[in-house]
Amino acid sequence: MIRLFYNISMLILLGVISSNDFSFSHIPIQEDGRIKPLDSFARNQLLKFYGKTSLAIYENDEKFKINAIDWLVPILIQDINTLNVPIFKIENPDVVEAINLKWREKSTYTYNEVNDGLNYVDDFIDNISLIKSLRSEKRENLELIDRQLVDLSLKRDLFNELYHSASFLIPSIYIDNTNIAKLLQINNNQLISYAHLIIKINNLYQNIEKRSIQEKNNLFQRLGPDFENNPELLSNFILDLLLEEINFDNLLYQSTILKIFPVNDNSNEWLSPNTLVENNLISEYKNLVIPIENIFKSYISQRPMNQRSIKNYQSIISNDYDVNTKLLVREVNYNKASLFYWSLIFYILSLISLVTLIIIKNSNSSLKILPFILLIIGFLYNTAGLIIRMNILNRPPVSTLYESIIFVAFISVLLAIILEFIKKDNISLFVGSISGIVLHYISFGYAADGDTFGVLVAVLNSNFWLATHVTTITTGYGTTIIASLVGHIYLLQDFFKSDKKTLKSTYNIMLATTFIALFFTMFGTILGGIWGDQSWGRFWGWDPKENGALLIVMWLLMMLHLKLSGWVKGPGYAYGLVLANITVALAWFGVNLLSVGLHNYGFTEGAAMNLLVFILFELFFGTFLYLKIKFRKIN
Amino acid sequence: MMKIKISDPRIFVITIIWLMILVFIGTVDQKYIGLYQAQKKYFSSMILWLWYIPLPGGLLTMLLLTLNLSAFFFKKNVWNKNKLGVLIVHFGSILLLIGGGLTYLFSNEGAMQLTTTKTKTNFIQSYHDKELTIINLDEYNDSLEYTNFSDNILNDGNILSYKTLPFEMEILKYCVNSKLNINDNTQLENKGKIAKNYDVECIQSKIEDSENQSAVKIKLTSLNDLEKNDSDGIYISRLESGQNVQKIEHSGFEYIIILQPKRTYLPFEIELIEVNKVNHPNSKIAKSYSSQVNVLDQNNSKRKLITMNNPLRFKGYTFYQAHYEEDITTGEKTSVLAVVKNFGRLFPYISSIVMCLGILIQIFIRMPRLFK
Repeated sequence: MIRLFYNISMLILLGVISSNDFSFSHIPIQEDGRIKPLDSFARNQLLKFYGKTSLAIYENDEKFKINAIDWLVPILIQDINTLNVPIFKIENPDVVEAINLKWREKSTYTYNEVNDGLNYVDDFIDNISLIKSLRSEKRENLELIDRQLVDLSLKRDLFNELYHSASFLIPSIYIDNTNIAKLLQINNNQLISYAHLIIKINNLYQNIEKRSIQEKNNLFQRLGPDFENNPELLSNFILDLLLEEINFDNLLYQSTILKIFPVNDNSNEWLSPNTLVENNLISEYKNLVIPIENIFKSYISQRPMNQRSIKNYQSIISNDYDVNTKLLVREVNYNKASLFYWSLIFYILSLISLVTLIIIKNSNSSLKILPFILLIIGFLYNTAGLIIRMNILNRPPVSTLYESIIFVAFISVLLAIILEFIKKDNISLFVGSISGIVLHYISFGYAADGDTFGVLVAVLNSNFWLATHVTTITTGYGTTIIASLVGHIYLLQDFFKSDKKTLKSTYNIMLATTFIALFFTMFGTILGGIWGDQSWGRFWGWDPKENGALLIVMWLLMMLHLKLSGWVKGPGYAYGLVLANITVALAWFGVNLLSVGLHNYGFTEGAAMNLLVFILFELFFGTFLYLKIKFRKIN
Repeated sequence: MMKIKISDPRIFVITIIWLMILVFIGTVDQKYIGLYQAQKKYFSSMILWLWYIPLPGGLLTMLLLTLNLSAFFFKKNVWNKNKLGVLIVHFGSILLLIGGGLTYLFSNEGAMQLTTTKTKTNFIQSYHDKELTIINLDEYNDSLEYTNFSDNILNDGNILSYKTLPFEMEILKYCVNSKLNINDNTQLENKGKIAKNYDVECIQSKIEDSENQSAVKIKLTSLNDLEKNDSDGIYISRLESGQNVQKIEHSGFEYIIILQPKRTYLPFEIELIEVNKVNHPNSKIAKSYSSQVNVLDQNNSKRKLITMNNPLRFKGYTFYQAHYEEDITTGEKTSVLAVVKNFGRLFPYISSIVMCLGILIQIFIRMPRLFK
């Protein structure tokens, strides 16, 4: 059995780690302080417009799924059709009306529609000046619809930036003049990018420098007497000729969003094609410019990519610029694998099979183990995801809110599996699968905020204390959640009149999990103090996050002493544990509402509402069942 | 009548519930009154005043908790091997609370500002406490004479004097936070560059204590009536730089009156050699700060690099990298170090080990029975 699990887990892990060929998706790009594959960049951009990391297009009632990278590349190569792909998600009908569009069920609109709407002017409406004035206002002073209009106009600008970010690298210039083509050594009927053209001109210039005086004279005589004294005239002459040839429209609007040219010192900003052109660095980077142009070229002509060109590019970035291409490949594979979707699916399957088995009262022992196995498979996906994230980020997987949720899911399910292994009574399976499902669901909400691999502020960037304190306290959250869920089960069991023996068994699990939870929350809280002492010289500063963790510890201590004093019995203890979930929610998410203190991860408006709903639900659930049980006993 | 012993777990339950309420309200209130004020009001207070109702403050509650936990050891039936873990946990938590108390009583903390242009610094500035300092510039030719009045005696109406000073000062107004109003009808007795043109007004304190602009308005009177002096009159000193220094001449000496963050002098000096800030590439998020300093103790000099999470520890003081500032116009870089002299520093380390050990032991004692 263990061997089977081992094999399955290896399969899941290998599926992700196994190396793939380096391709377009793997081109490294710098965004928000991190080097990432173009695939992740594309996902982050699509998230901003569309709210999801892949695009669904409907054509003749048929649904096509488009990956983020396949959405981004046509935009980069300035394919006009991309302007008519509906990707701007507008959820608010008022905004749709404000920009003079018709409300659609799918609520997605194309660039052209949005741009026309934002620039709409008639006798009554002047959207251009409206947007202009809104954008000069402070964001917090704006009404919701105005804020969304500003956001929409910013997205429009972002699209523009993307559309024009690679214009110097796209082979779009056609040299008509055969003489120039010959001089620059360009095939007559070949498209060439602006950057490549500059390389060719520089080559020509160097070529001329290198020639003997005799040859030079020959050349200049051929071109005209003026060139003899002033070789620079030659390049100006070529440029003048080129200006007549090239349509510069697409080169006028420039953006620096596409930072794909590495620099030797990795702490510095990478360069965009436009920065290269502006600072006259094209020739220095010709080893990278030409392969990238080739990659674009093969994409446009829909021919298979030139493998030599890609290998060449890969070896330059990894040897000359010290970019870890293995990590890039791994991140793309991680993106594609969607491990946490799979773990969620298996957690759900585990819960469904568990409920089904109970309903049909199946006593067949070979089927009985099915929910347990499904839970373990989900857990393996969960674990694999965590390990790969650690490997890519080279830090413990608990530094952002998103990561901490995934980690707490991991801990909760792990504890549930251990409990189930000892008790074999299915209660832990309920607890484990439910906590896994709910936490995964919450995490997807946070993943929609953007890159889940964000960089950290200075004080959080110290690996040892981060590893110990944050890992322990998040483990504490996970174990407290399990203890609390066992409390839920106890109340339900008592409510549905389970026998004494079952209740006693669940009660014992409550106590055991309380001890475990107390251990981790207390240790984590004190470690937090020690981290504080190490980092800024005070053990305890009554910071909200510290107080939140302390609140959980005090709550658990109170529960144990309430039991000792004889003030509560089984149902009361379970009720208290149900409410312990509220302290976890407050410590974990609630302190972010206060936005004071050192370790806030950032918070969105909707989350406050969700938190309130959760607290009210737990309060209602606990109080209702507890009172029902109490009254029944009195009668 | 029911007899309740001090070691009763019910006392623990009630005190911990009250402490939870205090922590919760104190945390929420930080949004409105700031961390420093909330700490003073809820956590380090003996009595918390709710309008006119006295409630136990955090300090009193924790004292009660310590008593309750200590009394646990005097109960009859606790000294048996089944309760070994519980005993150890209680011992650890008492250690933790005592450590907290010692830190509260004997610790000293502040900030040390080091700039690349100034050579050495040998004092730390308090984050919250202020002092009114009179400096005699030429009492002795080679050194300055300082007379400090701590801010807890800067109450309106108080008269400050000291044996070495030839004048006394009446506090007309002391503001924790203040603003200056232009004063149109200036009287002759208004002296000093601020008091001549402005009057000071006390305003609502800011949530961040460091944003408060404290100010003091004093009336200076010569002690020797015969020698009625030109410098007699009203002065204002305000924390903001450029408004804090007031120069006067009196009895042939030159004095400086200044309101400043309270200083604590160290038995050694620190010199800043270099300060650095590294951002994550292509973003404004700081990756790390670091300061290269020289510690000058008598004739010894020691070089040390202070980074985030890697402080300098010297003679009981610990120096942490706190802030970094750069003046764009002058290019002058300032490194701010947080300085702590923590008395009970080791207590949390020991008590955390003791407590966790205790819980683990208890888990091992109890678990087999719970999982039967």
